[in-house]
Amino acid sequence: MADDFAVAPTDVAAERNQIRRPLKPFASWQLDDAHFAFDSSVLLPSMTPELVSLIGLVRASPGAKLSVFGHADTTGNDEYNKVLSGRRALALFALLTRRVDLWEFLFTNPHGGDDWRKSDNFALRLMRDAVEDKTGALPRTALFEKFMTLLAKDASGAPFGLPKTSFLGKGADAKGKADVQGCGEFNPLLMFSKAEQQALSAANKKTERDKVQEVNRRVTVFFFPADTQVTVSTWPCPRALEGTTDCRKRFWSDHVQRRTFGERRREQPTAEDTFACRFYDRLARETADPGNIEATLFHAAPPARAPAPPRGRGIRDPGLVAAPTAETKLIAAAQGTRVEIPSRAVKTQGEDEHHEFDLRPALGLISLEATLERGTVPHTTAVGVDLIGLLLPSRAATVLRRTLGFLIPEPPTPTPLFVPEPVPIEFEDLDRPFANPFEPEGPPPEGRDVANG
Amino acid sequence: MSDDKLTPTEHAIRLGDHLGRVATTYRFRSFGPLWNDAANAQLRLRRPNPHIMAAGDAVHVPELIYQEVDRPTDARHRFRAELHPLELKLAFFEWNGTASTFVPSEVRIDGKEVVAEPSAGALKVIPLEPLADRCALKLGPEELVTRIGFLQPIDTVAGVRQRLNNLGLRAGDADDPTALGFRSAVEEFQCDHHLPVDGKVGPATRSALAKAHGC
Repeated sequence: MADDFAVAPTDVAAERNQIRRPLKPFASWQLDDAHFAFDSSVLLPSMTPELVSLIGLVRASPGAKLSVFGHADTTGNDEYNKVLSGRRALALFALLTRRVDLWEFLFTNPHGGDDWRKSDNFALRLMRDAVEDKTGALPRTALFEKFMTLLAKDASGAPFGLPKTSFLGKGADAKGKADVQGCGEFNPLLMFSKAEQQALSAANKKTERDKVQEVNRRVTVFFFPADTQVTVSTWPCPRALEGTTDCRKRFWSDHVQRRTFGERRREQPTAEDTFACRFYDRLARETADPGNIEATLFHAAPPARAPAPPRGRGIRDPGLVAAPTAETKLIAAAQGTRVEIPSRAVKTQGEDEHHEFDLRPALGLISLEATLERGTVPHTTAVGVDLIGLLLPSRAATVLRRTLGFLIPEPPTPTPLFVPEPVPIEFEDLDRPFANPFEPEGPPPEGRDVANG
Repeated sequence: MSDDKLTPTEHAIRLGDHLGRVATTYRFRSFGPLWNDAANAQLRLRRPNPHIMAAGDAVHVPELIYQEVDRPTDARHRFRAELHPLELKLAFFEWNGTASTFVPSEVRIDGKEVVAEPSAGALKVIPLEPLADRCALKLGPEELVTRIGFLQPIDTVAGVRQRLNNLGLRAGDADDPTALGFRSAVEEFQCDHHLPVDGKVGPATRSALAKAHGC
């Protein structure tokens, strides 16, 4: 099993087996381009519902460390896009940490098209509209503060903010190394074909091109386990506003090919080779970057309150659309441990559902299967569900990763779905005494007798 | 005993076999007589470490010689047999390279609880019987499982993959050097160790990997 470590015994002082904790995010969250003002790092009020799902993830995984990654599209040059994506990531980071000074910085230091003051201070006008400051009397910092309060609130409307220690670098670096960074255009979800690229590069196609490239412009937040230890000085990513030099050090060996428009369009998740940065690719593959595989959060002790329905990634269950009235539950079982998870509600197709489950009885186990039942009749079987992050102690929340389309209808069967069959590992030689086979009694005789060996 | 094996013989290494285990299976007290046997000269060249064998390797098991010693009756005699102790040494590190401070709440070898030697820092030393197979360390509600003797030589694809996995680089569980996850892990390792990043496991990468892993 992949989770077992193959090791060697030794009789030599210098030999050992090094076992190192992986850098392994357990969930990710994504903010789409539509929630930024066009070609800028100004956040729009439309992001609030998205943020509710982020807050849900944060609350459900106490102590989790976040890291923010901005992404630009493949139009424009590397250095410009690197900083642009960094500024978007910074804008979100500032909102999450309620850092008005960072917005002040973005406001007073425009970067090409990302100028908060363009079009007669469009950013301020937008914010004044949103907070209903009709007279325009609020000073800028107060306006930023008020706009932040408007954007960052949880499902109940309570204001939300995170301390810098909630981020991966714990704010150890004043400029947010390991906390917030921009990937520029190095990690697009979509790479045009050569023909598309040529067709869309004409000046009059800009609107269309921007529309198609929308999917690439995004900000992703990765959630790392609470005990992840990172040294900011050795964190591979450059700071949000730095150049691309350090990015390139982490490129795939075939980055040139990855960054070249090919014969066919390449798109995640079917194409696995659109990211030029190997480091990011590895993180994204762990959580299955949104649009790839879904990450759903399972949480210790389901809260009594009706769950806020985060609109993030969830369980999609087309099999349940037909009869949405029946009781549904998800059963997780592994090595004899059976965890029953009541479903909140059956959602219609296309709607995302967020489940929080108590998986503590199943912790310590490597893999787990899940079954959806309607009442007592097994309805669907889920496969491909893995508990990840099991090596990480003191984390209440555990994440189940599931692949899309895993639900396969199954005819009713009277037998229990999970027959716990503990499989003890036995080795016949184990019980044989190994130590001195001769009876250790009485005083030693003179000399030393050595049996065969 | 029923599982006694006749010697001399040729033993084909299976996954999980290391020389200490093979020797014990054939009732030798230590792997020395097997390792030093002239018929295994080629094996010694190919596998410099007796504890790391590849599945399929052939080991010559020499004849087991019983030593007879005369002693008078009506007296007690003590005989001493020297055993060759083996250890499992696990060095735990965090992702950033700092020594891990966790202390396992329980260490079990094949289900039996053992006491690990108290050791400072990241290194845990666990005395082993040669037939020990599975060492499980409990960390809170979770369990970290190691399979003893399953580590393959560094010049096999499996050996490279296992070491990358132990080092937290997640090379996957398929012995396919062209698989994306495998290549990703190799490149990441090369990058971390300032080697040319080409995703291919050459002599330099191999030796750096063996060194980083510790065997």
